[in-house]
Amino acid sequence: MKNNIHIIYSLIVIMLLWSCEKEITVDLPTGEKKLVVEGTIELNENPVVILTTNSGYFEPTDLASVAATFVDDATITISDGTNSGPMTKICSGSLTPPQQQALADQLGIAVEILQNYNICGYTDGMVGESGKSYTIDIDWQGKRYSSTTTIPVSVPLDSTWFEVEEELDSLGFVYAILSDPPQEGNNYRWYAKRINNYTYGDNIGEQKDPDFLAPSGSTFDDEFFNGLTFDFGYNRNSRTQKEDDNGPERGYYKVGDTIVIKFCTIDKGVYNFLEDAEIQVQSTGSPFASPLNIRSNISNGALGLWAGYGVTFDTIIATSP
Amino acid sequence: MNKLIIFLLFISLSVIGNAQKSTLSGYLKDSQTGEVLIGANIYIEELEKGVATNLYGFYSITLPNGDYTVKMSYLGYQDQRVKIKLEKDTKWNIEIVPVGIVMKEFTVQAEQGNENTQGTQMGKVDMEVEQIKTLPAFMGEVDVLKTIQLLPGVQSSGEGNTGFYVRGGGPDQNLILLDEAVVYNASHLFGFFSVFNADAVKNISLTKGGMPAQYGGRLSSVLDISMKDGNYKEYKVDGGIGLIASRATIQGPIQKDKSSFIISGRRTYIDILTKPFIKEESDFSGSAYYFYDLNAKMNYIISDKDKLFLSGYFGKDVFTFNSGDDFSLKIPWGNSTASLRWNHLFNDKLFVNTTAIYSAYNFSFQGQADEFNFGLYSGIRDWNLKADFNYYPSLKHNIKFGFNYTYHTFIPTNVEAQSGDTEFDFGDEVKLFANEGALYVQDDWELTDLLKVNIGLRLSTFQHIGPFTRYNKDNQGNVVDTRTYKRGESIKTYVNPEPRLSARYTLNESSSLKLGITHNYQYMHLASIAANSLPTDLWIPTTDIVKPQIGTQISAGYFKNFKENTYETSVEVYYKDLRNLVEYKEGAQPSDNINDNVDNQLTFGKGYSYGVELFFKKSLGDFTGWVGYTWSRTDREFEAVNNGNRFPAKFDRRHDLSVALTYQLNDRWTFGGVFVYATGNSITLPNTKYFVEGQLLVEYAERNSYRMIPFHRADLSATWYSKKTKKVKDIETGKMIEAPKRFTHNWNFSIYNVYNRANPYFIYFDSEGDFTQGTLDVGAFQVSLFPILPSVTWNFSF
Repeated sequence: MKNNIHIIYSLIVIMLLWSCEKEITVDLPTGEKKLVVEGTIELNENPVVILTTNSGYFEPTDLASVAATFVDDATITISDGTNSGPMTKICSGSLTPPQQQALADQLGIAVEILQNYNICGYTDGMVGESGKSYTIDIDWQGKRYSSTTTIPVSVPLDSTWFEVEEELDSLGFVYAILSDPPQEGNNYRWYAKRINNYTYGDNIGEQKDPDFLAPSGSTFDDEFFNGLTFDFGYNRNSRTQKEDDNGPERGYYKVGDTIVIKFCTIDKGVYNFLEDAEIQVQSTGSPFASPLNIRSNISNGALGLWAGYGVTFDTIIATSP
Repeated sequence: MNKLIIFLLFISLSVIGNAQKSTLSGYLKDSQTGEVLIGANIYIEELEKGVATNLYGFYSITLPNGDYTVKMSYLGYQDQRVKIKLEKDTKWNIEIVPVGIVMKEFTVQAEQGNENTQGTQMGKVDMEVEQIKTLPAFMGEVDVLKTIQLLPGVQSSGEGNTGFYVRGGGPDQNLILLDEAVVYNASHLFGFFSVFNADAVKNISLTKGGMPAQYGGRLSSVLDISMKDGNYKEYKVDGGIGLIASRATIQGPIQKDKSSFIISGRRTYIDILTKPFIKEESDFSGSAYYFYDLNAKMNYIISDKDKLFLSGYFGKDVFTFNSGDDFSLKIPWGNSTASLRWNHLFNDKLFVNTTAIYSAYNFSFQGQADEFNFGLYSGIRDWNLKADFNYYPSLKHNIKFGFNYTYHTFIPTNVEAQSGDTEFDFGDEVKLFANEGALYVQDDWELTDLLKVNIGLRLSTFQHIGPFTRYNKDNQGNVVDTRTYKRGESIKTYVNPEPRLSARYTLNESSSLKLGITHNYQYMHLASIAANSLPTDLWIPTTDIVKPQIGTQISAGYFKNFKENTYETSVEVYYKDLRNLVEYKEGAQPSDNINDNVDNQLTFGKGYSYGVELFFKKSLGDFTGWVGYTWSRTDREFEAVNNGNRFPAKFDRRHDLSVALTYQLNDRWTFGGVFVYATGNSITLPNTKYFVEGQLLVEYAERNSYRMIPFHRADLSATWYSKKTKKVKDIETGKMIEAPKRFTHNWNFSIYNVYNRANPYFIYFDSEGDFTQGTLDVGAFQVSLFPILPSVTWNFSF
C-alpha cells in the first residue's frame, strides 16, 4: 500500500519513448565476504538455521558455486531464556532422497545441490512457544554473531475465501478478513501454498506448490488500521518455474485449487528485514530509488534474518461462484 | 553588527549635503515597446563613471553641476550618447533603440560595456532571451534553464533535464524567482522542460557567488527572472507552433504609455499526438499527459513617482491513466504565483519597491482500483511581503536596504485511502507552519578610484510555529511519546546574521581582481528520495530537529577584457562549505510521516566543494558565444549514510565543458551550436549478492563509488527569418525606403544530439533465472534517453 508511490516512477518510463538500453561491463571491486543467516522458529516447530555467505555480484552462479556458498563449519547455540544448548548439524548426505526433496523445497533450492554436495543446516529439539523469545549465538571463523527473535501471539484470520476475477472464468485471488487487536505494533506476514496436484501439463501428478510462498507485499503492519476489521486480498507468488507460472495463470489461483494459508505474526526486527527486502526487490533497476541495504537483525555485520513466526493456518478450496 | 549599520549610515550621511550637486534620474526603456530595461548602463564619459538601472529600470546619478556626455548602453541595443547640461535635479526617462532597428537619422554601432570588469559583483551572469532563442532547442522548446546550465559552475542534473547544481550546491539551494515570487518546482515533465515560457521572459540573471545581502534564504545561487511588462505602445501577438507544444502571447497598451498588459500561454499536445499511435493492448494505452503554463501581467504608471504591477504565473502537469475497466489514476502537480508590486519614488535618490507575493506548489495523486481508493497530496504555500529600498546618495554609493517576511505552510505527504466502506486511519491532516523574516542593508561603495566594495549584512530569522505534534521515537523507531503545540505557539526560533562582502580592485582599464565572501543561512530543505528531481520531492522547514543549512563561500577571480570589451574572459576559484544538509535515511518512504514527523526520517550532513571556472565570451559581431570550463570537486558526509564516510556527491564532476555559439550569416539566417562534455555521474551499485528464502538480495558498494562514462553531446540549430522590412514610398521625399513589416515569422530547425551519442542516464543490474537453482544470469544495463532528435518550430509575430 505504501509503495503505491512507486507507480509514479514507472509512469516516467512512458515518457521516455525514445530511450534505449544496452548491456555493459561494470568493473566493481568485490565486496567483503559476509555471513548470511536464514533461520526460523515457528510456533510448535523446531528451529532451523541455514548459513551461507554472500558472493560477488558477477561471480559465477552455477550449482557448484551456489553449493560453495553454504557454511558448515559454524557452531550455533540456541536459548529460550531458561534452556540453552548447541544446535545439531544435519547434512544432506545423511538424508534419504525424499527427505532431500522436502528440504530442497523448503529452502527453495535445487535438489541437485543436496544430492551432489553435502549441504548442512542446524536444528534443535526445542519447540517454538507463543510469546517466547529465542536467541542464537553463531561462532564462525573466530567471530560471534547473535540475534534474538520473538514468536508473537498468533492472530487468526476471521475468514478466508476465493473469488474469481471478473472476465476470468476460473482464475482469481484469495481474500481474508482480519480483526487487528486493539494494541499497536502488530506485524504480519502472509504465505500460501496449493496442496492439490497438477491434473494437466508437464508437471502432472506433482503437488502444485511444494512449500509455502509469500507473494509481493506479504509483509504489513497495523500502523494504518490499528484495531480495525477489514478485508484484503493477495495474488499468488509465481517464483517457481512451473507451467502455470509462465502462462495466463501466472499470479492467479484456479478453481479446484486447495489452498493452505499460513498467516503469521512477526516481531519488529523481522518486519524491518522483510519490508526492506521487499522494497529492494521492487526498486531494482529503478533510477528513482535510493540504494537500500537491508536491515538485518543479526549482530556484528552479518546479513540475513533470524525469525520467529506465530502461525495460524486456514485451508480453502477454490470453487466457481 | 549595530556598529556596522551605524557606520554605514554615517558614511551615507557624510556624503550627502555637498553643495552644487544635482541628481539625474529616471527610467531607461526600449524605444519600440516601452519596456523598462534591467541592468542597463548610464555612463558619464567625462568622469569615466557610471551606474546601472535597477530591477525596475530606474537609475539615479548625482553629479557636480556641469556639462556631461551621457552614454546609455545595453546588450542588444544601440549605444546612445547625449550631451547634457546639469544645473538642477532632473527627471530624464530615456528610450534606447534595439540593434537591427534602422533609424532614419543615424546608425550607431553597438558597443559592449565593461560591467564585468568594473562591477563589484562576481559570479553573476545576465542572459539575453533573444540570444537563447537562437541556440538549439530541445524538442523545439526554447528553455532558459537549459541555457543557464551552459555557464561555468552550473551543472545540469541530467540528460535533457532543467534541474541545475551551482558550485556543488544541491538543487534546493537555488533561489528561483519569477517577478520576485519564489518558484518551488521549476520544471515540467520530470524535469525535461522548465516552467519558464521564453516568450514571457524579459531578463534572466544568475548569481552563483558573492550573493548580495538583498537576497537570502538559499545557499548557492539566485536565478532572478523578470517577466515582460507588456508593450506600452502597440498591440502585438507572438506565437509559435512546435512539435510538442504551441505558444501564444498577446500584449499591448491598456492606455498608451501609461498601462500595459501581457498574457502568454503554452500547452503541450503529446497526449493528442500520440493517442492514435498507441495500440490498445500496449501498456501505455489509456495514459495521457500534458502540461500548460499561463503567464499574465498588468502594469499601471500612476504618476512619475508611482507604478503598479500585477503579475501571475499558473502552470500544471497532468498525468492520467485509465485502464478502461477497474483501474484509474490522476496525478496533477504544478506551481502558481502572484505578485503585486508597487514602485514608489520618495525623491530623486530614494526608490522603494514593495511587493506582496503568493506562491504555491502542489502535488497530488489519486488512484482507484476496484473498491480501493487511494489519494496522496503534498505541497507548500507562501504569503510574502517585502520592501526593497534603493538609495543613491552620490556616485560613490549605491545603498540598498529592506525587509522580507514570509508565512509558510508546508504540507508533507498526506494520505487517504478507503476500501469499500472501510476508511483507513492515516491520522489527521499534517501541515507545518513557519514565519521567516529578514532585514538587510548593503552598500556598493567606491572607496578609491581602484577599489570598490559591496558590503552588506542580512539578519535572517525563522520560527517554526504550531499547531504541531512532535512524535518522539526510540532507537527502534517506536513512538515513545508525543508533544502537542497550540496554534501560533513558537516551537523553535532561529536568528542569524549573514555578512556579505565582495570587492573589486582595478588593475587597469580592461582588467580587475575580485573577491567575494558570503555566509548564508537556508531554512527550507528539499528532501529528495531519488537521484533526480521529481514532483514528489518534499519541501521541509527548519524545525527543532532540522537545523538551518549554513553555507560559507569564498571566491576570487581575475577578469580581463580584450579589444574594447569585445572579448570577456575570467578565471574564478571558489571554496564552499555546507552544513546541516538533509537527506532521507536509507529506506525511508515519502508517506512515512503518518503518525510520525517527516523530519524524523532525515539524516544530516556536510558538503564541501571547490573548483576553478574559466569563461571566455564574445558578445559583439556576427559570431558570438562563449566557452565555459569548470574543474571542481564536491563531496558529502552524512552520519547515517555510507557508514559516516565522506563520499562524492552524485553531481560531483571533475570536468565540465560547455560551448555555445551563434553565427549570424545575414538578416535571414542565424546558426547556433552547443557542445557539452562532463565527467560521468557517480552512482551506487550493488557489489555482492545473497539469498534468503530463495530470493536474490544485494548489498551495495560504497555510496557513489562507481562512475558512469563521460557525458558529451552536440546540438545544432538554424533559424530562418522572414524579411523584416518592406519597401514603401516616403511621404516627405517621395523616395522608396525600407519600413518595418508588421507580420514577421521565422523557422527554427534544431538537431539534438547530432552524432547520436548514447549517454548513460542510469545503470541498473538485472537478473534472470533462479540463483538457488543454478540458473541465475546477471547483467548490468545502461539506459540512454535521447538519440538524435530533430525538431522544427515556427514562430510568428504581428
